[in-house]
Amino acid sequence: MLKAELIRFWAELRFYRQLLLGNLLSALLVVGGIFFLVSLLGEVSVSGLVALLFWLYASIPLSRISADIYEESTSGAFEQMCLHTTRPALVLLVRMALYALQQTVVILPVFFVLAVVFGISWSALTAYPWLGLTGILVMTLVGLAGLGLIVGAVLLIYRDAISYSSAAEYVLLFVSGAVVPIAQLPAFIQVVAPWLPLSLGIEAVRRLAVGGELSALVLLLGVQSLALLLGGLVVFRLSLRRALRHGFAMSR
Amino acid sequence: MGVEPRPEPLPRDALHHPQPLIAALSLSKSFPSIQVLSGVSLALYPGEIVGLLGLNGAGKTTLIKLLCGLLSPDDGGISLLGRPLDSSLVRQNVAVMKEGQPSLYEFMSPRENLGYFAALMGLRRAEEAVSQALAACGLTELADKPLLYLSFGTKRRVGLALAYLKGARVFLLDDAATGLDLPSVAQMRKLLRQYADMGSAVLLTGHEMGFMESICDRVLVLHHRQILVDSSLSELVSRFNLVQTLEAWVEGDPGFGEVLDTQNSLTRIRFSIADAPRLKPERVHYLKLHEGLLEQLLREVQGAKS
Repeated sequence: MLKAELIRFWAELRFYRQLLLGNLLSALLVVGGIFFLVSLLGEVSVSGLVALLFWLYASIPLSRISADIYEESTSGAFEQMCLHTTRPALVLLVRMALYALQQTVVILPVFFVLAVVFGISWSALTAYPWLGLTGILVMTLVGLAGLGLIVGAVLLIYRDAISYSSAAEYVLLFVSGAVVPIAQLPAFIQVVAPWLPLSLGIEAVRRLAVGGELSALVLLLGVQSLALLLGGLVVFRLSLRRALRHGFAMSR
Repeated sequence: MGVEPRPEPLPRDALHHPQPLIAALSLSKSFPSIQVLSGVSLALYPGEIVGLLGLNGAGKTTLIKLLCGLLSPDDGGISLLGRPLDSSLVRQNVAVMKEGQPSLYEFMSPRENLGYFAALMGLRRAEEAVSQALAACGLTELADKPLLYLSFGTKRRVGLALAYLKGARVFLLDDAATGLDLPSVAQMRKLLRQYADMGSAVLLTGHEMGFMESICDRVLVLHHRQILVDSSLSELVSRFNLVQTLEAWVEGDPGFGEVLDTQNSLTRIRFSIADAPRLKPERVHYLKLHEGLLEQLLREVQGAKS
């Protein structure tokens, strides 16, 4: 499974290498622009920048996986995949892991460029708890992978869902607390936010840097991410079964 | 996914071929607003190429999807190698090429596409197997070019190479020859025959009757949700009294055939192939096949049904 997806990953990377560069540039501009606005409201911090960059990982389940499923269902490659493996969900999980690595390669230079541009000191960077951040990131990504499977499951059945997946990515920007801490958001968002792994991840990253009760939050994040992953696997399986009975949305 | 086949007789004489590679019994399938198939039975045997004919919307693609498990029947059952169809059996034994699209990754080269699916299948000595499959389908020189830059015919050949790589016992091709140029059609014909000669069964759909006529050992006609004809070409000729008809522009009145048009001293006639020897070659200005056997068969079947 990993070997197959590595072949696909390198081929895609080679073929769309300009796109990768474009992604880097747009990430730099979007995150840089938002961070500039945030900096007008308060102090510039490493955790603030990290929180924003966390949001970029949301594009994996909401844009990339949904685009993959949409395009591959349309071209028939997804059906071909189903004819060659009994575990397409696992294929998608491996793919999301590779996309997360690729996104990290985009995010790291964006982070350092913005850190320099916004005058974040070297001592602030070295003092940041990177190990803890990595752990929180991995847990968040597990939850996002579950979300990716749910999005994929919906797309197998409803082709119009692709129209909303990118919009959902930008909704997450605000709902997750990437821009403004959840506590400062409107009440109805505060109700929704704790149900999203990205929100918990970003909040955990903030507390990691500025202090606050962390262990319960991290435990909640872990449990929620695992639940989302398992839920995603179940929903995807059910959706695939339905698609195999009634036909894939994109090829009907 | 698989449904236990009912103990009903096979649609063909089982004495000659005791074990079909794949058999469908009384398949029915409907979508929310339309019933597509009703009580369809068929069997494919080793070494044969079977043509599935029918008008657009007759249900050919739906039938192919049912046979490879990409759709489940509402009723009826499918057996593959004598066992109820299931996804792992399909994975090992069935190759599918969809209509129009090659169902592969456009940004990947033929070698990468085959390598990808070989890795998904967990194929051992995959690189060697991929190279063999590419060579068998005449793709060695184009093996490392992304599919996006390859012609439609070449992409279809990559689909064939995937079936070869898989060593599939059953190969299902939807709209087999549509959009292919003459060399690609010839190559596909050769590859499919080689494929069948290795003991696999090929089921193909298409509207290029000349191609189908030239390659199919047997023909199924799907019409009004059912298979109305399941016969070899020779059986069809005698059963439906099929005769190929030709059309020609000849000088003067040839004295046979149906006159369609006259212009100056030329007459356009339509006549049976049996009358072809009566043509005087020096008086023929133009000659073409008017209607092939399968075109005639489809017309007969539609006429009879309506």
